[in-house]
Amino acid sequence: MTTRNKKRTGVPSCCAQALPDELMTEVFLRLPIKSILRFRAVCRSWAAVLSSEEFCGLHMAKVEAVSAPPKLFFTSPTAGFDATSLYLGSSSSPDDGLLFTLKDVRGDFVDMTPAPCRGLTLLYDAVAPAYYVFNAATRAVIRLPPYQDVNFATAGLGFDAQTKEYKVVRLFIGDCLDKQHIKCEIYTLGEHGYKAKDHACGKGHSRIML
Amino acid sequence: MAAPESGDGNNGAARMVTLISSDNTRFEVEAAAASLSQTLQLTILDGGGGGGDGIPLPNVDSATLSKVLEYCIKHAPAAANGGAPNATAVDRAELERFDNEFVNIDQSVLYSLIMAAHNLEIEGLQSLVAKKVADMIKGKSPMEIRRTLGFPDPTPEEQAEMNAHMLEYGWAYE
Repeated sequence: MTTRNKKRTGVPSCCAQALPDELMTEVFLRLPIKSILRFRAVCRSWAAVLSSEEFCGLHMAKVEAVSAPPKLFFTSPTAGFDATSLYLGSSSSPDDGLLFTLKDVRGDFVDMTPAPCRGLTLLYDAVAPAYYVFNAATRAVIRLPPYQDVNFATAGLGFDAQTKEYKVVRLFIGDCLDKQHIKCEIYTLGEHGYKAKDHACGKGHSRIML
Repeated sequence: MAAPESGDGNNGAARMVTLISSDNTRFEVEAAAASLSQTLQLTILDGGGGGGDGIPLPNVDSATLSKVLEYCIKHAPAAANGGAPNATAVDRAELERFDNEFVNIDQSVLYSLIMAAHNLEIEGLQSLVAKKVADMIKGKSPMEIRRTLGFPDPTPEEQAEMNAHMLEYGWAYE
C-alpha cells in the first residue's frame, strides 16, 4: 500500500469500505471461522460485532444450513504420554486436523460427549479428574472448576435457549449417609462453581440425556 | 382475472415495465425479472411501471442498473419456479457458472452492486456479492484490512492488543 487514506470513511475505493453495518454483517456471515477470529483484531468495533452473541448465533445457523460432511473428534496421547492431542478429522493425515493439545491429560483416559451441543463439546479426563469444555471451531478450551470426586458420576452438556447459557449437568451417587440418593449438580459456563440441585431427578437413574 | 391492467394493452406477451436510472436512462424489462426486487415487486403488483410512466430509481445509476438487470433476467425463470426445485442439474450448473463470472468484476462495481441489491431488496444478488467480498477479504491479515479501510496506524496500545491476539490465536494466522 503506497497511498493511505487517513480518514475512517471516505470514497468507496474498496468494496469493504463504507459499506453500511448491515451489509458488513452480511459479508462477515460468509467468512470462515478462521477469518472471523483473525478479524477480531482489526479494531475494537469489529471485535465487538464479531464477538457478539447475536453475530455468533447467526453465523452458527449459517454454517449449519450448509450441510458439511460429518467429522469425527479423536484423541491421541502425545509421544511423551504426558499430554493429549485432540483432532477433528475426516482426512487420512491426522496432523491436518489438530485442534489443540491438553497438557497433563492422558489420552487413554479421556471421554467426550457423543455430539457437540450448539458448538461445544464436553471432555472428561478420568485421571485428574477434570472436565473440559471446548469449541472445535474456535479451538478455545476451558477447564471447569474442580468438584467433589465421587464414584459413579456422569455428566452432560446442555444449552438453555432462554437464558442463552451452556450448562454442565453432573449426576452422581451421594455419600454413605445418603445411600443411593442420586445427586445433581449444575455448572453454568462462565460462573465460578457448581450449584447443587436437590430433588432435580428421581432415584435410580444413572444416565442423563441432553 | 383480477390481474391489474398494465395500461399498454400488451396482454398477450409478457408484461414489460420501465425502470429509470438516476441519470435518466430508461430500461424496459419483463415484469417477472424486475420483480426479483422486493421493492419493485410491490409497485409492479400495484400496476406501476407500465406504459410511459416508468419507475424512477434515484439511487441507482445506469451502469449499475444494467448490471442488476442482467442478473435479474438470468435468474427470473428459476425464481418463477419457486427457487427452481424442478431445475435440472444442467440449469443449476449454468446459473452457478453465470454467477461466478458475473461477480468477477472491479471492486468499485461490486460496491455499487451490493448497495443496489440492498436498496432494491434483491436477496440473491446481495448474497452473491456478499459472498464474493467475503472471499476477497478472508485471507487478509488484520493489518491489511486496516490499510484497505484507510484506518490510521494502530496506537502502541492497539498494536499490543493485536500482537496478543495473534499469540493467542496463532493458528488463525497461518
